[in-house]
Amino acid sequence: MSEEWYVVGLCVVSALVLVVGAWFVRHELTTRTQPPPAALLWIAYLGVAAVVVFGAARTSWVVLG
Amino acid sequence: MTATLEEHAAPSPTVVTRVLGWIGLAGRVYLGYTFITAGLDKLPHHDTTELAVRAYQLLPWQWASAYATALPVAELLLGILLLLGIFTRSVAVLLALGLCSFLVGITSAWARGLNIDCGCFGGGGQVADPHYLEHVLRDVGYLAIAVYLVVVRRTALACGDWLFGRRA
Repeated sequence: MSEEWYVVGLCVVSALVLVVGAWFVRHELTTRTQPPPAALLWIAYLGVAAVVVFGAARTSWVVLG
Repeated sequence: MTATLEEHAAPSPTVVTRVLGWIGLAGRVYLGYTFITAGLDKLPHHDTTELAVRAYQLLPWQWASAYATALPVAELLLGILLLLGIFTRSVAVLLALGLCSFLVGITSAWARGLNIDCGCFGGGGQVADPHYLEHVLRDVGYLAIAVYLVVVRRTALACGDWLFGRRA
């Protein structure tokens, strides 16, 4: 398995996770009859997004290093 | 009066919703049991878990000990919450995130040509014949269950429904 292509794949999948996560939060806010506060969901999303970005960046750095 | 009562009555779940809920219960029990087992296998063996974490060479050296301490506790707590059906969707999101991190760890070790045991249920460190594909497929299966629990919204026999007064 090429390390460069692994990093490319990791970044693509991470970006996909971020997009699907944002869609999911919007979907929850628009379809649930009693959705939680929008600010709470978006803050939770940002927390998850930070972990995903850190994980992808750290792993890419280690794999390419 | 009748109209008012009907307006306030919660819609009764359909057969499909009930079946999906029971499938969700099966997923909850399986995934909950798996994570409780993983947590219990690692909890008494901190040094081995730390060795397994370090073998991935992903986290900064100083973080490995804290991660090795926190991981089994988190697995145990999340597994118990999932088994009981409390905060099921939030727990499933956290487990999905954790499983993604495990998948990244395993696949990155594979990509770098490391020969290590995943240490998922205890153990870890160098091995002669790592089973990366097997571990990846297993974790993808667990991830599919976690995603299902997020998507299905309600599962059968969830303690959260009783605790928070939701209609099952």
